[in-house]
Amino acid sequence: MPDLIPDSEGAGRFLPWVVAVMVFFAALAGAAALALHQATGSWQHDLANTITIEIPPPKADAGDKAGSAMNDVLAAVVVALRATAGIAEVRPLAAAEIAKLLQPWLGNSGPGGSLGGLLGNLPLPQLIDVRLSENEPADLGLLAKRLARIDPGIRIDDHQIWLGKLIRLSQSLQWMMAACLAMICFATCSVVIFGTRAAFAAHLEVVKLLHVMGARDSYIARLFQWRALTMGLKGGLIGLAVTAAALFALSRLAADLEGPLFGDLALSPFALLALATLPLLAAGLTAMTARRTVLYELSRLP
Amino acid sequence: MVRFENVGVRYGVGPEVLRDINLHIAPGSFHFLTGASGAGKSSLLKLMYLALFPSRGRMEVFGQDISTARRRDLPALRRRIGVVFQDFRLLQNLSVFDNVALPLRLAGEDEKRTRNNVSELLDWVGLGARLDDNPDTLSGGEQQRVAIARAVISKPNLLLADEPTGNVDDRIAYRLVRLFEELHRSGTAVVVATHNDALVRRFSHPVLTLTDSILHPSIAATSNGASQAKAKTAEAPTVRRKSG
Repeated sequence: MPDLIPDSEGAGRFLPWVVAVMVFFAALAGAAALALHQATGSWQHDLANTITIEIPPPKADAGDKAGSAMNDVLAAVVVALRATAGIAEVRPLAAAEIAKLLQPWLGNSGPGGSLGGLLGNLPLPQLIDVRLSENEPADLGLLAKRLARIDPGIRIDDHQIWLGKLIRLSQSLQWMMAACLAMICFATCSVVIFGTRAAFAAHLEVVKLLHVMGARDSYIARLFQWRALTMGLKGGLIGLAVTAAALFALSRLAADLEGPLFGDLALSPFALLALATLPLLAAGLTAMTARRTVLYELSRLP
Repeated sequence: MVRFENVGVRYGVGPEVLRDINLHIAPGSFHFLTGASGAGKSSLLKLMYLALFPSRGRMEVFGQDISTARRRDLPALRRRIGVVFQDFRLLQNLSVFDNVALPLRLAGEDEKRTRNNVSELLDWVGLGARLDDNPDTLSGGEQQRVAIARAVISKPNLLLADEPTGNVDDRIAYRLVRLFEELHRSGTAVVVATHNDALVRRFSHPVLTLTDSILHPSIAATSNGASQAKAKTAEAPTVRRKSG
């Protein structure tokens, strides 16, 4: 069947470019939402069964005995932890590990990762990573009392406050991204409606002729629908190609940061696959919008 | 086949362009529709080919009351009607063949049969050698034959021609009406709208005359004055005889 609605007349020639821009923004918003969702899950999983014990640094007047006093407290805390039910693993952090944690804020430690320079002279707390058993719940209240008997300054950080804030922020951002996607869809539909109406008006004589000859509304709508589908797909692929380039550049920049949080923001294969379907979704959206628009316009004919 | 009862048509809030139309087009009949320019001939034809609905009155096409017909039933009715437009309305981006094949394809006809029927019909109208040409490469007369071929390819029950003789000389106009008569003989009801009274008088078919938005069925007379009308029209409230 020859093309009854030739697109060379230009009413909707700009559509692929508009769809390309929309897909680009949608892909960026989608990538951000997916990355945050993924990272939130990762943070929750990593921190859900862990607590951190923080032993305060010795007082400044402790003098030369400060080091051995800290070791004594550490040993007592480790014993108390191992004696508490529901605790699967206890691991005191080495000085180098603590230094590495502080490195993004206080600068480089000494050679080989050991404390040196400014960092070496600072009174730092001793940290202990504790992994809780997944089978047996730990009584953190009882543990807090035991540790307070060793040193009232010992703190138990179960990460829940920090994690809760982080998750709330992440979820807010995800909702914002979803709102962005909805607005992009709305804008795309508006442009498609405008373009389809223009194309319909440009081909009104042909449409009327087909109508009089007995063409069904669905047949005429299909002519515009296929045209919108091909233009939407073309635009979607262009948009996806630009997005791929942008995401690649962003991933290179993020890799340079080497932060522990940014590592979780890398997109999974599933997320990448979801983004790759965007041109199909865009083409489907433009085709369905064009179809509905034409059916509406046809309903005004006798 | 087509029956109008007290039909009136107005566009928007304007005055009625057709008033109190009572009409019956019987199967296999042949009518001329005459009237001065602006009398409403095109509007009446539009009603018949369902491109316009009446503002009042009752209209029945192929036994279907149009006021109660569902929208999805109308395409099937329209496919039983062939229309020859004054300005031909050929699709310039399609070949002659594809233009003529269009009604069959819209009806979902088998492609092989479509190919055979279209080729045969275009041979019959003398355009068998121009199948692949675009309409804009044809003369006005050739385009008109393509338009007629497109109107009759699906063997419609009703053929409507809107001023088909408007742009041709008397000799061609006469031949065109003879061509419509041939289609009429195969059982198709034909309505030819024209303002060429001289042409109408050369034939003996009933004449429907529109004057001041009102239809006056009348019986035509041949040029020698002898009435040869075998009017298949019914419900003629006023019958007048045209003088030769």
